[in-house]
Amino acid sequence: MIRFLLRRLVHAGILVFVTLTATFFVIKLAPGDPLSRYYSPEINPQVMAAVRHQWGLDRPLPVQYARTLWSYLRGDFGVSISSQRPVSDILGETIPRTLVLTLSALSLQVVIGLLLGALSAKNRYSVLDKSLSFVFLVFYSLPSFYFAFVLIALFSLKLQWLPSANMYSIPPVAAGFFAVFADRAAHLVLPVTVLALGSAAALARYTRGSLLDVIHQDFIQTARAKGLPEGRVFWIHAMRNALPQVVTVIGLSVPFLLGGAVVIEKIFAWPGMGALVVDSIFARDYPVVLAANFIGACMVIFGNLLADLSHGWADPRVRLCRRS
Amino acid sequence: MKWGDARLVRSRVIDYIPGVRRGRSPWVAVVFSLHFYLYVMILVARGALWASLFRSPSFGDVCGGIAAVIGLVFFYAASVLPGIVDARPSGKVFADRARRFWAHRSAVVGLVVFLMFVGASFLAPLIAPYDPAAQTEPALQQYQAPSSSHPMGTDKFGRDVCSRVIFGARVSLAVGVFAVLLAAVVGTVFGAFSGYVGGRADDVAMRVVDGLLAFPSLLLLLTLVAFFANSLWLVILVLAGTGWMGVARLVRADVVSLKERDFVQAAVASGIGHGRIVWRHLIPNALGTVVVAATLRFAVIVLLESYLSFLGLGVQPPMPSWGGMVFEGRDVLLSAWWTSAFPGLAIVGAVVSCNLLGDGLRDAMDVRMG
Amino acid sequence: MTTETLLEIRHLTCSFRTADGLARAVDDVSFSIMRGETLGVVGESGCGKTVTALAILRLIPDPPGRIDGGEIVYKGANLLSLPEREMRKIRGNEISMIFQEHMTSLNPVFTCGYQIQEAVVLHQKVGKKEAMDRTLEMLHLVGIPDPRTCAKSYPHQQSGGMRQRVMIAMALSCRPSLLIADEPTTALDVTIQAQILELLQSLQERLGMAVLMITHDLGVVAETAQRVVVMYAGQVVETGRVADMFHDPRHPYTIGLQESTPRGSQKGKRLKAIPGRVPDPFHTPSGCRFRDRCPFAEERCAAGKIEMREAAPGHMARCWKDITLVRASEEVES
Repeated sequence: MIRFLLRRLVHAGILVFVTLTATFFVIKLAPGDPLSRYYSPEINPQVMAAVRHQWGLDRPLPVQYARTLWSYLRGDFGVSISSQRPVSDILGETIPRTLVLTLSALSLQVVIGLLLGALSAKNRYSVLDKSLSFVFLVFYSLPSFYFAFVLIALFSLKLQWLPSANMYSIPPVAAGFFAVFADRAAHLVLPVTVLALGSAAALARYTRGSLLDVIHQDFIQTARAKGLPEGRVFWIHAMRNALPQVVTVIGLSVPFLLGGAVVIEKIFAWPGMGALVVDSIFARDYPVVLAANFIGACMVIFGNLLADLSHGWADPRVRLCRRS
Repeated sequence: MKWGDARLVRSRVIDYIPGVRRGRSPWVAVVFSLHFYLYVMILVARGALWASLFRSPSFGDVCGGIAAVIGLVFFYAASVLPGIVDARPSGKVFADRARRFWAHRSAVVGLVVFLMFVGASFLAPLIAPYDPAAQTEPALQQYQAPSSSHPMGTDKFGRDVCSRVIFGARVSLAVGVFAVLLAAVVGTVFGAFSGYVGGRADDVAMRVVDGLLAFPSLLLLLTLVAFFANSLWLVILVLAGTGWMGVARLVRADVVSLKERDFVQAAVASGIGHGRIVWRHLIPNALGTVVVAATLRFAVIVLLESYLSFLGLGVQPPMPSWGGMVFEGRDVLLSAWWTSAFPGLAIVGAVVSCNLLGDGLRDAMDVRMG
Repeated sequence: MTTETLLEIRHLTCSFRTADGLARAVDDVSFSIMRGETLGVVGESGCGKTVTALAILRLIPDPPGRIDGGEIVYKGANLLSLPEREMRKIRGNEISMIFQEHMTSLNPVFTCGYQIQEAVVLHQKVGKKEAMDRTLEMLHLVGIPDPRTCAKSYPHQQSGGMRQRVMIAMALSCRPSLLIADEPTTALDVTIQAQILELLQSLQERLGMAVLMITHDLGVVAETAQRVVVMYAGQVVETGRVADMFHDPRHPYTIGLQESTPRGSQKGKRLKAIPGRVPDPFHTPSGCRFRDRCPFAEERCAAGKIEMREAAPGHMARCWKDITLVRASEEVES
């Protein structure tokens, strides 16, 4: 077990290092001067040189690279060019906001996806299954921004039931707890729905396929021959066997917790990490972009690790083999 | 395609479509009209491509033309004659696969709808009612609701939405076809050689592929495209870059299992070079998998491209693109809903039909995508 | 062994609907099992023996399979018309089944002990603790050296023979009166085969249960069964006592089966195979289904339906000819 973790950590380290390097050089080698958006052409060249020096942009590229690596090792992500604030501060603000969104979406996605996928598999060939499969396909093929627009048009503009922008309308201290809570929840509904339903459809398709594979195996017949009720055979014996693969897929969608909501956050004006990344990319705010990609790589590693570990937890065959 | 070829193709196809001999299946009419349509399309596409090369071609024209031809031939070969990709065609395999595909109602519908999109993409100049970039005096024509003269209404600048949607198909499909072809070629070669060589190199190669697969591609796409030139070719390159890994993994799995088969051992024993073995013997057998993977990947790429153009990357105005059109309509979601609704529906339609097609092919050719 | 009938199958017919047509897997099959006896069901692959066994427990997947007709009488009730709830009480409790594939017949994600315990808790309505005691008792009964460790382990951690023992323990945990064993030893090594067969015999004696032993191996039947049913192409072609079957076979197929079984006494001689192939299940021939391969076939064999005939007391065969006479005359001639 320890050896396994160590090996994974080494791989993780390599991956992060490669990502960091690749992103760094992509950004630096891109045409255009990162500072060009922040000054007008008439500015005094000496002032310009001073600013460049302050930002360390006048050093040769390998030196810049080394300095960046060193500061990352120390946990210092630099300072944002556009807002002049330390990147870690900015990230510390935006990441939790994104997490609220994506964690709610993830929970909803798992519940809906598993349930509907299981229902579809259980009633295979029925009308329910065929229509559900089609629904899954449509939602799976739907671009989230289009779905978001449709929902906004319907629920926000036409029916005026739900707000479509920002995280809250009532400032935290202005009203009682319940009103604030309801307000926050109302703001969450639309973006979470958009995020959850699209990925729930993918998960449901996958669950259905996995369950259908399991249902045909011999031990299901053994379970029935024991006299177990069909419900128990399906929900406990079959589901439990489909769980390892499903759990792996869920684990692999962890990286999307931070990066997947990019478009949604822009549409719903949710001030989270996705919106931050898009803005920084367009603003050529490279310290933020670098840090965001770094965090993204870390999430990928974490997600993979989680997927592997949960697969091992769910499937005893894998678990015990590894230990021996 | 000469007339002689057509007759040969037709007779082979008749043999393998269920119910044709007995003449009782209601699908016969559908199938035959589909073949006719495809045949005509390929002829027209060839002609259009020739013609466009003699005019001064715009990027859209050439792109659309080439993509349409390649796409049509590719999908025709893949969907109508699935057995053709088997290097050792046996009649039974042919017939089984073809029969399984055509028995899938949804897959056939997917094929038909998808071919409509493809047809629209290069017949665009012919079938679009208006010039997609033609702006009229805004005060007069702006935001007209769908009517008989403008079946999908007009947008902010008075441009006809229907024509823009049709021309938008060009971009999406062109990007899709090129990106998928590139991804398929790179992935197949990489996977085939990796699987054939085996051993340590194979391990390392697969680890690299797995690492790349888990990456959230959207962030990477954004970074690359935004920082470098905002060109369509870069978008195609990057989209291909996100897609080749899946193909590589599947092809490698196929090659690894094919390697043990007798005909490969026989080829090695008779002294045929390794490269030739991979190229002539292994890859053709893995083509079935590649076709399915490519079709499904196509759907994802069209989707990703729409995200990019929604964010303003990739396609530049005035060239219409579905994602960009949806974005433009964001301020008038309720009042002028047609501006966003129809392009969005086009995206959904293209992706859904492609997915249906891919699923049908996968079932017909019994490919394990695990 | 008593002469009381435990289970009687009457005119059972099952068919499967596939893309290639309708296949009659089981056609008018009738036989009975006595309390406490071992009945062997012999036949080659595809003759319908497994389908018959699954039909007893109503485990035939529907679609594509279907029980078209017949009765299966157990303790006075027709199992085929019982409501599902009642049927579940019988499965695993009064009639149990063990399967051929030990590797895939146990659920890989649950421990062996849990899978046995599950049936006990369900049928005997006892608490977990007592169920676990019974489980350990059963594991000990089937000859597993360390029941406690085995109960906590997973199926993939055990060897083939052990897994089969676990399956037997699972099937017998509720003391059924009938055990259906579908080729229980086919997938095992020869040495383990003997052990498992011995185990089944001793358990049968101890628990006084009947065993329906399905196999294609005549040797297994000879060793374990008291009576035999021979099936061919979905029909029963011969039933009788084991001794009668081996010394005085009355159906050409049985003769062919015996002659094609390699025996030490025949060393050096050429193996005799039955020429021809099993008829297509989608297009069963009229008359006797074995006639294309039968050395004694005549024109009369091709028409109508051949019924079971009592060739000797307690010995039925689906052949209108008296084979013994024919063979005797042939021997005289040669």
